[in-house]
Amino acid sequence: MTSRGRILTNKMPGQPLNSTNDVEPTDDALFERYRGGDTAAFERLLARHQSGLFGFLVRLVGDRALAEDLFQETWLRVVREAGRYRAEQKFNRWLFTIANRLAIDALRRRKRWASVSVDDEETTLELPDHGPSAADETARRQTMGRIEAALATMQPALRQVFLMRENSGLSFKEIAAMTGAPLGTVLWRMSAALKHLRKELQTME
Amino acid sequence: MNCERANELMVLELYGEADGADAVELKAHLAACTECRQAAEASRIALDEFRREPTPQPSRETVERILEAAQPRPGIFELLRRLRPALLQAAAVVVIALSASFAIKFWPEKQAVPATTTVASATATSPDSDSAWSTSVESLAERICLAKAGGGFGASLDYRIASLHDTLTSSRSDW
Repeated sequence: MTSRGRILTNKMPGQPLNSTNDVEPTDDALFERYRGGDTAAFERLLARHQSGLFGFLVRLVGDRALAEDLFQETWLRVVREAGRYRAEQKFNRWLFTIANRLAIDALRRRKRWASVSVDDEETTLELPDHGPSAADETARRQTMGRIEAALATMQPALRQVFLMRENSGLSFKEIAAMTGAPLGTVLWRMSAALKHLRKELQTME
Repeated sequence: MNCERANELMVLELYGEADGADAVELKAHLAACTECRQAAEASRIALDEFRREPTPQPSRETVERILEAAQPRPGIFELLRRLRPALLQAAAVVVIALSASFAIKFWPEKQAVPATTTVASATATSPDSDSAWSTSVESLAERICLAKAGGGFGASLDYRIASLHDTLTSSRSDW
């Protein structure tokens, strides 16, 4: 579940269907089941985190193809290092730590950790086809474009904290522990990220 | 409380992480500071707008590749157990092939060995027995010659002795 308080649904094939009466198992319980050979538990885990993790990656690196590679590599590492996982690590913290490290390495290799181009066409996200009216769709596309532009012009360190808090469901304390930055610095970065977002959205209105 | 501290608490408050004392302190500051109050309200609106946006999804191919990689890999014992029928068949083929190879190599030699040589070989198993055998044959041949020179043993016996002499001599030379 993300910080937005909604359960992410899996639209991929082979997903086990959950009864609404089922008590949703924790990430750690699912991962333990997977380590015991239950691949259906892994599918549920992937379904639970795929939106949040992919959203984090694609918006952090600003390149859909690169985000796909990073997303895949993150999960492959989860599979490869399953034997070394300890339950006290907390699964989503572990998952986002791997993803964050891979993304920063990739951006450094591309020398894009300092800045991300606003004009990167690959950052454009596809809207799901829910059949809205043309006017609604135009308005939504404009809003989405403004948000994308705001994220793209945001300093990477601010964007990292902002996206991690929005997508991972981790607390600021956990993000501080994960990034190795003091809590005050993490809060300052988040505050600065929100200020940037506000400013960009207001100036484009 | 200054505005910088209020901004930090505002962030915690937006995500439900401010504790009771912080929340009270922030509320008091916002009541007194118009700028911070407007910033808090604008942040809430900006976040709502961001959260309304559709979340990008990975491609189906990427997800399928991950799920495939997550399938458990069999261990060495499991692998051996699964391959056991094939391994047994392979082992049987190897045993049969080796047996056939040995048979082809040694069978003709066994057939070619004369019975007399076999007897001689079995008797002469060491250099000592070899020497004794040689002496006995020579002694016997000498005695036969002496007997023949002295008038012989009779036609039938002479023939038998001559045959035995030939056999012994030829087997000795073969051997």
